[in-house]
Amino acid sequence: MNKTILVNLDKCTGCDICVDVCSAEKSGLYSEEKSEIRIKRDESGAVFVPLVCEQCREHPCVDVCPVNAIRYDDTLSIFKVDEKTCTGCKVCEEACPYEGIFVSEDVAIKCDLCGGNPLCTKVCYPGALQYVEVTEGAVRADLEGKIAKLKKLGEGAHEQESRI
Amino acid sequence: MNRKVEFKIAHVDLSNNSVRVKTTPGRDFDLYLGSRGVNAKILFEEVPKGIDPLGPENLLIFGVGALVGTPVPTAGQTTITSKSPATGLYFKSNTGGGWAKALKRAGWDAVVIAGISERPVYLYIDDSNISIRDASNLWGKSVRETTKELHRQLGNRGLEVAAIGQAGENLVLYATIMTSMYHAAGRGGLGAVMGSKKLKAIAVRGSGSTTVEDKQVLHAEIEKVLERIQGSKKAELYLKYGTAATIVGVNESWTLPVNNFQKNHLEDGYKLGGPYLVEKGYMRHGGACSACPLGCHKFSVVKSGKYQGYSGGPEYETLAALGAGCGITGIEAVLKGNELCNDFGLDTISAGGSIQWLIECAERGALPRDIPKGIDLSWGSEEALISLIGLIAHRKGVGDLLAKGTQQAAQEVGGDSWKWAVQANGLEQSRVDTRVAKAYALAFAVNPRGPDHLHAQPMAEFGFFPESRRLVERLVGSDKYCNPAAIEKKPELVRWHEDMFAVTDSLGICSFATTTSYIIDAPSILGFLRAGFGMDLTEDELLMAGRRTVVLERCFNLREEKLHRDILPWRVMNEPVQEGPYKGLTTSENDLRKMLTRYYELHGYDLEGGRPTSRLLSSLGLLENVKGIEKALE
Repeated sequence: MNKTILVNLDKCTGCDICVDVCSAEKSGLYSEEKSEIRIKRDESGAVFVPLVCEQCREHPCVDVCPVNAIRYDDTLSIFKVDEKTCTGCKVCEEACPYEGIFVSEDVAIKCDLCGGNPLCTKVCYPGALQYVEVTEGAVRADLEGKIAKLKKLGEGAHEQESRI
Repeated sequence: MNRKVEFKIAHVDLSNNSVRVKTTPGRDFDLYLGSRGVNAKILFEEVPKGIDPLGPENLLIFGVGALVGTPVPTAGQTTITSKSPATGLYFKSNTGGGWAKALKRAGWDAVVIAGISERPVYLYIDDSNISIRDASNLWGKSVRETTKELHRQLGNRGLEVAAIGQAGENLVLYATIMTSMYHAAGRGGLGAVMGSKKLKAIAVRGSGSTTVEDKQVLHAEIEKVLERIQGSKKAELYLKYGTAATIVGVNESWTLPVNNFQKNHLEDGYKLGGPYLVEKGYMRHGGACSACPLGCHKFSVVKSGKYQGYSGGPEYETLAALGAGCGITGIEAVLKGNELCNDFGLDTISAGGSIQWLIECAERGALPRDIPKGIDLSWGSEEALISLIGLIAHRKGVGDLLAKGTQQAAQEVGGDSWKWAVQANGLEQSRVDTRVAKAYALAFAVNPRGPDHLHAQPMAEFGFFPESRRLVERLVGSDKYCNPAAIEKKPELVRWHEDMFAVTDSLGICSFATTTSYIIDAPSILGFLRAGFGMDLTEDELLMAGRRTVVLERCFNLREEKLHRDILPWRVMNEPVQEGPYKGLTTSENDLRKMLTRYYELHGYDLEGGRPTSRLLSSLGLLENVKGIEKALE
């Protein structure tokens, strides 16, 4: 069993502390553009969806990469982006159904679990981000929930839902 | 040596459609630490004495706190400053959401709005580009519709909107400015100032970055604060129930104003409290302000029936003003009232205060004209609440009278109706019974905005939590002073709270972290300043920066023709509590005088009129820093 970051969608308040702590760790700046975790939001219905790679087994990003820039790293048993190879073509960004990989300044970036000590999970007081031992099924369930919520966000359907 | 931090300000004049870029001197940051203080200085220097708050000479200043844009817990706040149309006095209002961070990431520390536009406009700030755009298709729309429409027009991602609703357009004297849809810059009618300028909204997109001197040290400070949050009962309550949690404790302490302050306890008051709302499925988490782990902001839904709807909140003050104050415990009606006020951009405390005043007019047979036929004007009337909110926002019928606030309304209606207008200096009082809670009484009396809780929030006097008892012990030697009904040591507590509150606002952190929960303390803030700006201050110097702001704000009011008086609403000072453990209590003129004398003494004001002396202004550095401040002494 491996560890990964699971997201509890009911607990995220959209505070963005994770986003800033991540970008500072990766780039030295507080900047959403440089962060490997981001939050998609709709203020009117108070819906917040943290977007972060959950290291899924299907890894469509890896499969579609035309230059094989996303490679397996056995220290943490996850895939990582090789920045030198990546051309920033954005095919991975489009392929990921749960929006967990981003292209920033012509390079794909995605969560690398901070080498086994993910900072975002340490600053999440509401407990929406948890770094835990998981089964494949747990990751799957988490992602399916997220995809459903993202779809609703896109359609604005949460508003009708909150009116029910 | 302090590092020089300059503030970049966009100065927008709507009378001639010009945008200029200004910077403040680095010295201003050293003196005031950020938005609230710098805003107060701009207002004092650039808004002449005696001008009409709704005229072109008034400024509307949006200042972003100095720590905003970093992950310092709760650093997501904006201070909006102007001359208030409700009080005719200095006014600052604080709001959260994501707006402040967007403005900071767009590269700005403040936006100053001057003049009056000929037609409705909105401002679009897209990083360094600022454009003044036509808003005729937005005029007449609610805050929620306006915000959504701007998201549609300008793109959803990263866009944050500050907007007024119909109440601001119609110059209701307690109209709010709403940020990120549900976060209110409320109370003294800054929404009306925005409406008078024909400015419907400020939409901001900031794609830039922020940085600090030393991230490692800053993150270590942040982790310490997060650890304290883990151990705080108050933080747990904020996250679970928001400020709505407080209803229960305040009601049990017999300090919850009921029926326009005629009573201070509600038998079934728990039906307005956070735990009840969550348990019954009305309330869940809402959107936290930027960088806030406390996440007190909630979201509420009524799923069916005549009050069906949804909105942000409700907050303690709203539940108390629209619910308990009107004698209403039917939560669905109160939630509808909250939704309407948020949408119209209407301050819930003053809206509730005005409606309660009208109901009491009816009770005492002193009704004004233009009362709509068939509305039941009695305590507990849900119908009165819902219909009057709409009439006020659109200034129709009796709503036009109520839109002026209870001070003016009572002047027009005459008789004894001024006695049950629970206001002072033109502002309806916030929802705590200041006949009982003496630190609140003093804090409300000296508040340059009028009797309300967001100048100093001395919740420690209740001693609800270990953090507050420790603070009181540290400040005045013993936690036995955690006794709301006693006046001893209250001036000392109030002064610490107002200093800390001013520092809090200027840095853009939240008073719920530095006061009420007392999680972020002075040493943490000193750590943030060291790591953030390479600034080395002592605790005394930190509090002095707050005091400088407080004294400057008082000077604005002293300079005006209409003097701010350090006073409480008549009812609080003259009509004793009718029942319960505090039966017979008031905060009499004598009580207030005793506390004020000590408070003036602590400040170094003259003991008669509470005026700063020239020596005090000089020692605070205000005499040399603020142009024309000596006029406040005349």
